[in-house]
Amino acid sequence: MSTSSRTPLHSRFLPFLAAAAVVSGCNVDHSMEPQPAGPVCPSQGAALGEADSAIAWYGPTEARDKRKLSEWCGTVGPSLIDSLPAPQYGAWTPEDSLAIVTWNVNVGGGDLELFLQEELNLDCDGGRPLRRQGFSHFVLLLQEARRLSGAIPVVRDDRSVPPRIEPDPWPGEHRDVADIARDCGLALFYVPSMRNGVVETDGKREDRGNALLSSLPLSDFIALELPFEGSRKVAVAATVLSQTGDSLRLVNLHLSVSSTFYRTLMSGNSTRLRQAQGMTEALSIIEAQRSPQRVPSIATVAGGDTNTWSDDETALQRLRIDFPDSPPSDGVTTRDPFPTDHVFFRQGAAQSIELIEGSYRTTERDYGSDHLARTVRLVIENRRLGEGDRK
Amino acid sequence: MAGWRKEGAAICTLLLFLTTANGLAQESESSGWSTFAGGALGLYSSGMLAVTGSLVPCTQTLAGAKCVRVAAVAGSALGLVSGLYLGEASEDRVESRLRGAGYGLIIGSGIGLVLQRVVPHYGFKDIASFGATGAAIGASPKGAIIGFAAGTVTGIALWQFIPSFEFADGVGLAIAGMAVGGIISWVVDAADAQGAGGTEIVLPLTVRI
Repeated sequence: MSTSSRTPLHSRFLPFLAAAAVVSGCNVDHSMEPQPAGPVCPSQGAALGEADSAIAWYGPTEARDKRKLSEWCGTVGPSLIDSLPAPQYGAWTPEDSLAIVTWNVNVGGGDLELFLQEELNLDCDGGRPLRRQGFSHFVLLLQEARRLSGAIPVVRDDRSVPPRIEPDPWPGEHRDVADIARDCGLALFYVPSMRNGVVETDGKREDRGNALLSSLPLSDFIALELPFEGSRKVAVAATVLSQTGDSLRLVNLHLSVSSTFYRTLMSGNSTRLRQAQGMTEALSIIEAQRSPQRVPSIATVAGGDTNTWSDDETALQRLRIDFPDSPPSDGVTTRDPFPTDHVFFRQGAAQSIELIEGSYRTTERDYGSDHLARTVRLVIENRRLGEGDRK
Repeated sequence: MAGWRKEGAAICTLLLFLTTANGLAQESESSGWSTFAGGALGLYSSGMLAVTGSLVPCTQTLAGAKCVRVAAVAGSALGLVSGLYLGEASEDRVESRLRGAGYGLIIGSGIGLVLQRVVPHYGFKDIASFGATGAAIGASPKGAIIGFAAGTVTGIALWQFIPSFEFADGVGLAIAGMAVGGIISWVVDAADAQGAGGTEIVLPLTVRI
């Protein structure tokens, strides 16, 4: 076979080279948009619960993401909202610091009650929460929280159900996040991301997802269905108020550990970046809708299990840019050799809440989970107070 | 969108420069199927290796997927030029690499098939992707294996001895080593085949096993 003299051979390859440029790393769109409100899966699909009507849902714009998210959403139960904690917790005052804790509890493997006791000085034993010396207000951002309920639908097609995570060993009474929140008198916002297998116990099934547990009242409930990669991930957000009227939004984030090999190649390994940027874009939309003159208007903490392999991952670098007041990156590994768990912070236009320098730390024990927890403390800025006056 | 266009224009200019330079050299030569096949296989194999090898290192940078895109184009262009030279000089070597790609396709698809049984939500596209990656490695096996071995050893050593060098950096180095080794083998083989009278050109990076 000979090459035509009119068409140089090399020119035939130009389309292939162009294709190489276009195909690799092209599938990284993370655009988000508001989703219809109502007690159904945000895109469409199975009926959820009344709590879901009180949630502002946001999700990706891409048709593939919507379809996949809808399939997975159809397998989980309704969201849970219990906005008010027990009255004895009181308000967040300028004298008090607020601890933000992020912890992946490995579907109940992490002993949450012991954690509350040891790390946050709260004794929930017997269903009567007892604040011990050293207690200060806190919000827990839990990932892989487990809920057991008969309201979780029976699934006929298990293609959208991930394998069950069952902690090994799994000591204790295996109580779910709703039981623990109730016994400890904590406000709860739980949105399931996915089923925890198809196993049924006494007519009850399991799902797992992100939960906020708080000693302060929660309001302004938001659920962000992140762009679909390996599985459905829903970031949850709510707001707490201080006694002085300062608002703080808390976002609980859990990014995918991996996508399929095909998508990894096609997206240029942008699995977590796509989800992280989806979250920040949705937050920008929310803030622009609610306070167009002052963006970003509200102080925001985003924390969670980012499933990052390295402290320099693109997703983390982007999040540090979007949350410029974050504690400095410390490279601490919280799951085996991986720095997976992080907290990010931005003060917003109000500038009234600030991070206590040096308060970003990692727990020494994992309490049975496969992750260590991370804690940071915030205060309401009040120049009349010295550091010594704060708990 | 405007940024995309600017980036695309820059990439196309680079490609035109690279391919035109090569094309001028080729036009006076007779071009048979092996030249075409060499160019196509070089483009494919090196491009795919560049994508695979850059995935982890690039996602340690702020550029992320843009960095992968640049690596893909650079790898493809280098593979194309090398493949054209190789195909023009030696039909046998191109045939050998095509056979290797075939074996790689089979082995890669087999691995994909096994993984599809055990990894949740893997499907046909993932099997095909493993096959495609296997073909790219199979077209350049020696270089890829040597590069992988060198990258792995270096990665483990650095991970053990340098605290700021993370586990992910080590994994990235191993895979990037495989990619670089594979792409270099195209360049070396092309230079080798173009050597006068079949005399082998031994470049400093050539390693025989």
